[in-house]
Amino acid sequence: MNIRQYLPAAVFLGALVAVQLVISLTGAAFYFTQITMSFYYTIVVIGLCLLMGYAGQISLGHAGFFSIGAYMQAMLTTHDFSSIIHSSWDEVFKNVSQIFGTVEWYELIPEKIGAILGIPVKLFVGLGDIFGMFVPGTDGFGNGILSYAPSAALFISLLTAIGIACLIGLPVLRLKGHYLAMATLGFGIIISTIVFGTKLFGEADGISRVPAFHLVGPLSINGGMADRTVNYYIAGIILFIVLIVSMHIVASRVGRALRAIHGNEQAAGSLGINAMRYKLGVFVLSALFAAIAGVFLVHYNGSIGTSETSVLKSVRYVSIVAAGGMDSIWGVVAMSMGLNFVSLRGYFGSFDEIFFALILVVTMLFLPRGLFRKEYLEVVIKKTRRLTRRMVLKRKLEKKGIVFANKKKDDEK
Amino acid sequence: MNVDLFFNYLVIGLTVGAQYAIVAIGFNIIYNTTGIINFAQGDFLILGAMVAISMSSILPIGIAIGVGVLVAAVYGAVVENVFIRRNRSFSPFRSVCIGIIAALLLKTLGIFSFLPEGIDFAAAFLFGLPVGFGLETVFRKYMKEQTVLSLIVLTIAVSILTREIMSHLWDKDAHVLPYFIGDSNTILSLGSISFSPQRIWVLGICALLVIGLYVFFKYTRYGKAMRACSLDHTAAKLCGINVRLMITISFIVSAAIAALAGSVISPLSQTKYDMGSVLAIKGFSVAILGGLGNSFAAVAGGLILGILEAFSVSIFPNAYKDVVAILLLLLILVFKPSGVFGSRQASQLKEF
Amino acid sequence: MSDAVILEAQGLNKHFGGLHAVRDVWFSVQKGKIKSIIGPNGAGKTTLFNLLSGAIPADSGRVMFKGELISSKKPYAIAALGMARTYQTTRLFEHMTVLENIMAGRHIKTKAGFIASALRLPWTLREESDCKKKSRELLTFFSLGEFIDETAQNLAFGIKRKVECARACALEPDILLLDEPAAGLNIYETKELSQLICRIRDLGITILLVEHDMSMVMDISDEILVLNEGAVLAEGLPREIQKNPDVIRVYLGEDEC
Repeated sequence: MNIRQYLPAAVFLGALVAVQLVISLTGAAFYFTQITMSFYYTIVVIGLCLLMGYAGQISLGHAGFFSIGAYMQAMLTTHDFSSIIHSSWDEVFKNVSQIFGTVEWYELIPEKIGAILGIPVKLFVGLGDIFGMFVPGTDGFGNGILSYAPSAALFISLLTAIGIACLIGLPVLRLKGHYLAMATLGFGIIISTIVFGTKLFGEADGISRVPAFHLVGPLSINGGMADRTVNYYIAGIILFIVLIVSMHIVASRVGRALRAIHGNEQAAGSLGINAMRYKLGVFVLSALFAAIAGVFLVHYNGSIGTSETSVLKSVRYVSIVAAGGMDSIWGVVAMSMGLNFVSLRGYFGSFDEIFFALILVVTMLFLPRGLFRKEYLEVVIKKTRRLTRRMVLKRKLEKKGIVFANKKKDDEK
Repeated sequence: MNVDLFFNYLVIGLTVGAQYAIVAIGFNIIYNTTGIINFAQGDFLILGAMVAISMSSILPIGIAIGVGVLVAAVYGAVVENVFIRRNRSFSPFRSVCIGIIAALLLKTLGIFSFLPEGIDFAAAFLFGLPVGFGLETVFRKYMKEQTVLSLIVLTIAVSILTREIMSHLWDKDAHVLPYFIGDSNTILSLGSISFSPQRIWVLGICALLVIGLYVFFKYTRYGKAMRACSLDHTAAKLCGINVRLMITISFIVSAAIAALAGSVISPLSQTKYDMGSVLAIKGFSVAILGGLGNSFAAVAGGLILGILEAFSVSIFPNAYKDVVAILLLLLILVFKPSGVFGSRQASQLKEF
Repeated sequence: MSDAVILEAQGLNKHFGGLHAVRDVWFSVQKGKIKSIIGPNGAGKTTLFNLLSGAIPADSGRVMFKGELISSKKPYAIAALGMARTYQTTRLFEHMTVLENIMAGRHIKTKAGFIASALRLPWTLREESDCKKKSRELLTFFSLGEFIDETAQNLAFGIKRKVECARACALEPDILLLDEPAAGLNIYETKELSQLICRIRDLGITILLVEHDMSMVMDISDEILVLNEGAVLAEGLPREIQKNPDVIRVYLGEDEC
């Protein structure tokens, strides 16, 4: 509870400003893009850090939650809803069938079921219209469209992510070890497959032309050159808030319960800790973080592609958490910023995935508790101290005329 | 749907299912001796098939497949030796392997790009190998801390490493092995049902594999020793069984059968570097369906999933094909994690 | 059922495959007393504990705790009602410090949730410092003050036992189930433990004890229950149990009788 806890946070803010100043002064403003994207990816990683490092539950499906946030946001802000808003009930079915993309599929749904599916969609969209959630825009061909305002879409996207996380988490979090890993991996693949096969989400092309997200006043999230510095700060502040929230949770009764569950679930139960509730809570929270990152990143990039949904991305997040030290938020943040930045700069070229797999292999093999740990530093300090002490001693003895003969050489002679 | 179409789907389902069954059996063999799920199982299959495809251009097809199986088996042994084994004594083999990895990393990062071609490689090895030995010496003691979580993550990393290395050694295109008899137009007709003779090959070889494994586990010395390991490591050790060797053999066997299955089915379903992870999750669904560790139930499970998938294509869009298997997996995991053919009480005794 | 009865087992049964681990066990525990369960290895003592604390479900039979039926409840709900337990092999949260272990034990006495913690509302801070203070007091009571910031995995075995006991007491339970607390302790530690158990009892906490150390059991128990092959063999005061021919036969073998 003391003020020292906030020291890393203060350092983070200081670094945020310092990096901006250095970059702006050296005129290397193109670095801002990758740093900003790294900020957003770091938010996903922090959520996973809470889930894996603290609660001890693995998830190989976090790219799925990221994609839910990003794709929902992109779809809601670029899809033309005017036909649904203005259409009669009969026509609704036709629009709804688009959700399922391919033509064969559309023909398979009996008309009545289609109409039934259409009712909630029409109601939802109609309600949104009443509350003024829609704003006019243009599509790729310059035609006028009516889609959700980013702020309204934000709520819908995040609620969707939370809902799906609850739905998936409730059954899946009862599982342990390999079963949990496979189940979450399966979830990730399902999301990826759905995105690939659904017209509404752009199939293999993804969604582009996502509009800017106007916050207050002149602040807006977009990838424009002019707003690079502003967006750097917006992303930094969002990450900062997520960090503070995570830090608070970790150092609280909830964090303790999570670590207790990690330590021994049965013993935690015997202390009155409802393991399922806390596991679900942290799972939903981490899914929410991933979705938040997705929502904002899609506005920043202006587009989203299917590579974001792949299993490789999920594994990448896991490897960053593992390398950062599982249960050390700041280590994970440092690792994530470093690795994501280097990766986004294209430093590894086509060896990107290999690099992340290697990091995972080496940390898991030799340093299962992460690269950044205080213990390692202590070991190194201890060893060097011992070594220097021995050297000093040796020199002292040599000064007195006692020389250590090299035994092997003597033997050879 | 008419009867002919039904049987066509059935044959397709059986051949695809046979492949899943072999992957699932591979999971089971490793799970039984080590208690871990090897996520790289699907990549073993692709690796074997890829090697066989490359070899088939210069060697007769049978020998090419043999080479593929051999390479996969050796790779399985290497994976076990380097990544899975948790001995605390110094392992020069692991050091060298890690050193090679480090060297390749240094090379790819272009740290030695200022040196002329060829010499930069040597320089990378010069720096990489000590890194391997250094890691092994300094951090070996932390290996005992490996938990289930870290082993899961480790095999996933191996899986990705394998597929990415394959994508660089070969390319990112789909490859096929030539048909064993005739070509893609050769058709075997059985009454009104017609299918490729390759499907007979797949089913025949997979059936032989299953019978062979049955004989191996039931009657041979090593097979029995491996079954003993699956029941109790300590007891097996006390009986003088070399548990460590059995674990290595289990990796070799499961990689080899996967490679064989992958080669046989390659003419029909193509082979691509990134198919491993989907195969792995489907194989896992099958292993779960039959109850983890139970290889014969896995055969039944594999065929069921294969047939389900074949028929699902006639109902759902092709793009959603994989969803069927994974939904099945999720449903089984949620409602009956001990498997359809497994016993609930026995599964409660397992570690996870 | 009198008011003084706090915990009551009514006809508990549990099978493991062909093994009838607990068969038709009836007994009750009086408030404020130390009751011990003894019996040869494999008599079903630990299974009985697991049934009582809800860790495994009973095949048949009921458990009443403070007049409430708990046999269908989950362990955490039973713990929240005021039943704490320790394990035969200590199950501390190895990567947490002793203080954190104890504070985790006060889980049900505190109530900050996800949102309150995330926002660090002022009352959660007060709750946290209060929790910390109470935990320190408890550690002092158990004379564990010197280990307060030690990580649990670095502790000696005997200390771990004590910490686990303290963690269970942090719940401020009405009944405390101790599963072989003296196993692996030397004679001095055992003596200290006996005194500690009596002091806990004096705080008003009822204690149910499974133990092999006969001298300790005879020393501190108010009542003893003897299990053999899953069934109740005898029940009574320590003095009676010592003289009971059935008990002697089970412990010393048929011939001695």
